[in-house]
Formats: sequence, structure tokens, C-alpha cells
Amino acid sequence: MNGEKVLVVGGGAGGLLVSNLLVGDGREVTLVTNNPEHYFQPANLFIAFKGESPESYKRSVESLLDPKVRLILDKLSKLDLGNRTALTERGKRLEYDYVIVAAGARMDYNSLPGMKENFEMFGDYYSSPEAAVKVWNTVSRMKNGKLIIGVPDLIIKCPPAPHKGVFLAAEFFKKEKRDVTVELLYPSPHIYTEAELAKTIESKMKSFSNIEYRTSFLIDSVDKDRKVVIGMNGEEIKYDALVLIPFHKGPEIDVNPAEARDDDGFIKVDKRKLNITSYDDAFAIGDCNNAPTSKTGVAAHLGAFVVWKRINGRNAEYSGRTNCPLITDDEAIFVISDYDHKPVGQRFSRLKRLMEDLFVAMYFPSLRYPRKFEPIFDVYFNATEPNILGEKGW
Amino acid sequence: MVEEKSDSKSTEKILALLERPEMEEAVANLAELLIAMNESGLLDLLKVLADRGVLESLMKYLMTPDFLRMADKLDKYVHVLEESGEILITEEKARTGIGGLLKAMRDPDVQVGLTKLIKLLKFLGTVKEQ
Amino acid sequence: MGDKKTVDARGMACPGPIAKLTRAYREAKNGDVIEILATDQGFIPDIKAWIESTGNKLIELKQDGGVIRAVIEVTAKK
Ligand SMILES: Cc1cc2nc3c(=O)[nH]c(=O)nc-3n(C[C@H](O)[C@H](O)[C@H](O)COP(=O)(O)OP(=O)(O)OC[C@H]3O[C@@H](n4cnc5c(N)ncnc54)[C@H](O)[C@@H]3O)c2cc1C
Repeated sequence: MNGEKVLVVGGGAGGLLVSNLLVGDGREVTLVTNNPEHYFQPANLFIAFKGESPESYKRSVESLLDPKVRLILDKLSKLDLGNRTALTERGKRLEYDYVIVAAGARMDYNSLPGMKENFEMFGDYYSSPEAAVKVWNTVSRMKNGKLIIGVPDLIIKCPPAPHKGVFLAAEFFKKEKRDVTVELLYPSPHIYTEAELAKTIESKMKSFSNIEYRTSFLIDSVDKDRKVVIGMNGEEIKYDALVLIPFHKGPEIDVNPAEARDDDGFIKVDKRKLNITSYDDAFAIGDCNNAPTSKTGVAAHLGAFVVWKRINGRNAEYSGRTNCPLITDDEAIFVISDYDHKPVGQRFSRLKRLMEDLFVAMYFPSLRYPRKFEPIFDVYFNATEPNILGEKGW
Repeated sequence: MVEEKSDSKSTEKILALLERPEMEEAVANLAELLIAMNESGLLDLLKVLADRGVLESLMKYLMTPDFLRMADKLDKYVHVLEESGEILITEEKARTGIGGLLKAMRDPDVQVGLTKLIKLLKFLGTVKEQ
Repeated sequence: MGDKKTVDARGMACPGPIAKLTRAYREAKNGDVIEILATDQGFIPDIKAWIESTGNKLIELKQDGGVIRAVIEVTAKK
């Protein structure tokens, strides 16, 4: 069979899904990934602000893969698109008929003075479950003062995740009756990048007496000795603890040709077909590509299905659909948008929180058995398409 | 070096679990539960549910924008229904005539209620039987 | 005279064009000019609000056949 040999890079949501889908067609699939474990990233929030154990949100990559997939635990260091070859760090040379890069985003702490030291001190809930444990170690011991969650940049995974952190932290301090204020520093002129949703989120924030926020605040640097965040206009804000959302960059793979990546290292793709620009046998899905949409698990999930179908000669396209939940302890909204529609209006509700809990419960099985879950997710995605929910919202 | 996958790890894990002292009681409990579930037909029901066809049909029925919106506000509807239900089922002693009606109309809450009633009537008028 | 940089945020609805502007602004210095192209209609009020709250200068804001073009001069950096 032509196109039999498939190489998948990265054992995250996108890579696992696309491997399991393609191996089911009888193709020879090799997955190269540098982490033997896959963890559910949204759970970092529960680790950081509820003290939950990271173990319950981790699975071995092996247990999430169809046994027919050949797993190589190694880092992919070189990818030569013209010659259809790749090289791993330990020197294994691989050839392919199709390659799918799903290597996620790389966290970068060097684009802002003081960020690296701050990360070492306080951790964050973006980098890893271990870094989230560090946040919990600080949060659980704070008796009073101010916890700042700072967002220097907006090209980040799950854009409402900074807000989720603010709500969960504030709820923790409220329940524990501790005199701690949580402040969100946000670069856009509204408290969310879309003005209407920002209003909904803002009024929810106002219902908390221990949440503060500042918009249009552009973080320039951090002075850890004086414990201040410094804005680009020179303004300084004092903190007792500081969690900064790291910058996101493309994965650490030496791709040839270099033009296949943008200035930040993200892999340039056709935003609907998801093939790497000017190649029809190479794709990039999920956080590692430059599609102009949010970096979310949903994009990785839908991208995997689009690529699977396209490799099988079907005409599937990715619409840019997002579905990022913003949760508080007992309510949620979903940021639902696509390339052509800004996020639809939403109200906080308990139903949405319940639905989010169901998504979480289905997460690992849906990676392992994507074909079983496809019709179920499809029904949900179709019913909640931005142009179907429309003006009325949800 | 390349690590190829093997099944030995999960087998090891299962064996370790089986050796735990709590296991005996857990297995006995599970067996009892299975028998009970089988007798009550619950197991058959689960079998049917786990078949994706049923789940899919159920999802298709529930997952419409209208249904999602309604479910989203169900807690609010229940509150309104509960409050108005109480009024509906309680015997009312007071009587309202034309005079009382005119007087009631000066109450801002009644004015809002009336506006809502008119909106509702207007909507009902547009509903066509399908 | 500062440098000029163009940021293409067309077809970007979520996160909106401000996300791309934020990245470009970090690298810019006073006197630089940033041109942003966008198709998201929300960008017009957003860029006005952004200019007002950050104290930078809006040199041009135009819409031409669905494409919004904003040109700003960086003036508010320390
Ligand atoms: C706090 C937080 C909350 C979130 N909440 C949500 C949410 O509620 N809903 C949602 O949809 N999304 C959410 N996300 C985003 C979501 O987790 C990511 O978008 C998703 O995991 C992306 O999947 P991916 O497969 O592209 O990348 P990843 O899951 O990051 O996987 C990338 C994999 O590639 C491997 N890799 C990297 N480089 C190499 C290399 N050179 N060689 C080999 N392997 C490599 C990595 O080890 C990793 O296993 C959240 C993220 C965070 C941080």
C-alpha cells in the first residue's frame, strides 16, 4: 500500500490520536516521543490550586497506544521534509511516506527578564505537573498578601486558563478564610481577548471580593528582590507570590527547510488542510503549528481527525474550532469560536461545569479508542458550532 | 538505544495488584455485584448503553442548540416554576375586580409581569403546528 | 526614525489580533511603527481602547474591503 509508512512526532493528545487512527487503517505507524508519560494538562490547575495528586492525571504513552503502533522513546532532532527522513537524538534514522508533527509548544522563560528565576521560585501551571505542585506549595502556605497571575503574552495554550487559575485560587483562599488577594495582570484592553466574553468574565470576577485585575498591563520584567512586576510603561506592582504564564514557542526540532517554521518556531501550515506549507506528505497538528487559532486540546483532537481523513483521500478541513472551558469551582463557560466567528456569547452555568467534568472523564479512553468516541464528539461539536449557536449564544 | 514497547509492564502491574491483601475481599464484592447486576438486568442495560449506537442516538436527541440552552438554564426554570406553581395550587381568598386591577397596574412588578405576558402571547401567536 | 514592522492577524478571531500586537510591541522600542492587518471586526474598538489605555499613538485606522489596517507609533515604553 502506498503511503504505508507513517511517522508521528510527539505523544501528546494530537500524536496519540492520529497514531491510533492511522494504525487502524493497516498502516505501519511509528511514534517518536521524548516523554514516556502523557499527562492531562488542564489538570495542572487542580494540582496547583486544589492540591490534587499529579498521579491520577498521568498515563504511560504505551497504555494509550494501540499495541500495533511502534513506539520509540527518543527525541526527534532533525526532520528533512524534502528527503522524507528524520533523525532522533540517539542517532536512529527514520524514513516515511507521511509525517505528522504533533510536538506541542515549547515553554520559554527567556523572553522576559526575571521570568526564569521566578519560575524556579514559584513554578507555574503551564509547564508540567511538577511545576504545578510548586504553585500548590506556595498557595497552600500563603496566609495573607497578594498572589499575582501575570500574562505577558497571549499566544498561549487555552487562553482562558489564566482566568481559571485566578478563580480557583480565589475560591481556595475564600474557603480557607485567608486574607489573600488574587490579581490578574492582562495585556489586552479587556479582561479577555474578546470584548463580549470579557464582560461576562468581568462580572463574575467582581462577584469575588478577593479578585483584582488590571487590563492593558504589559509586563516588562520582574524584580525578584523587590518583589515587583514592572510594566512596559514603568509602573510597578508588588506581589507576595507570582505565577507567570510562560511564552510559547515552536518545538525543538531542526526542520529542513528552515522556512517551514515561522519566527517563533511554529510550523507553518495551511490553516484548514493542516499540511506543512508546500508539502502534501507532511502535516503539523495541535500546539506546534501556526494556525491562527487558540492552542487547545480541541484543535489537536480535531486536527488529528482532519489529517487521518485527508491521508485516506477524504476532503476534511479544520475550521479553527475552539472549545476552551473557563471554570470556577462549580460553574463554567466555553470559549467557542472558529476562524470565521469570534467567540459566541456565554453565561456561566452548572450544566457546563458538569459537561466539562464528563469531558475530563472521557479524556484518556477517547485517546485510546478514537473511532468509538468520534460520533459522540461529532454530535457535540456540530450542535455547538459558532454559526449554529449564533447571536443567541449559549 | 531504542526502547520498543512490550506488554510485560502491564502484566507486572496486574500481578502486583492481585497480590495485595485487600484483593480477596474486593474480588468477592465485585462478583456479588456482578451477580446482582445481572439478575436485575442492569448489566444488559449497560451492555446496550456501551454500544455506541445507543449513546449516539441519545446524544443526537439531547445535543441540539435549543436543548443545550434550555438545559443550561434548567435550574432557573425550576425556580420560576416552583414559585409560580405554589401560587397556582394554593387556594386564593382575595378577589380582584376592575378597581383592584387598575390599582394593581400601578405596581411596577405587575407592569413588568404584564410586559412579559404580552411578549409570551406575541411569541405563542407565531408558533405554527408542524 | 524607528523601525517598521507589519503584523498579519487576518483570519484570527480567537485569540484576537491584540495577541499578535502584544508580541510585536514587546520587541519594539519608542519611535518604532507597527502596522497590524486584521479581519476581526472587534479589532476596531479594541485597538482604540488599547491605544487609550497604553498611551501609544494611533497614526492610522482604516478598513478596506474587509481588511482593517491599523498603524501605531510606539511612544509609551519606558
Ligand atoms: C493549564 C492548562 C489548561 C488547559 N486547558 C485546556 C482545556 O480545558 N481544553 C483544551 O482543549 N485544552 C486545554 N489546554 C491545552 C491542551 O492541553 C493542549 O492544547 C494540548 O495538549 C495540545 O496537544 P498537542 O498534542 O498539540 O501537544 P502536547 O500534548 O503538548 O504533546 C506534545 C508531545 O510532544 C513531545 N515532544 C515535544 N518535542 C518533541 C521532540 N522533539 N521529539 C519527540 N517528542 C517531542 C512532548 O513530550 C509531548 O509529549 C490546557 C493547557 C494548559 C497548560
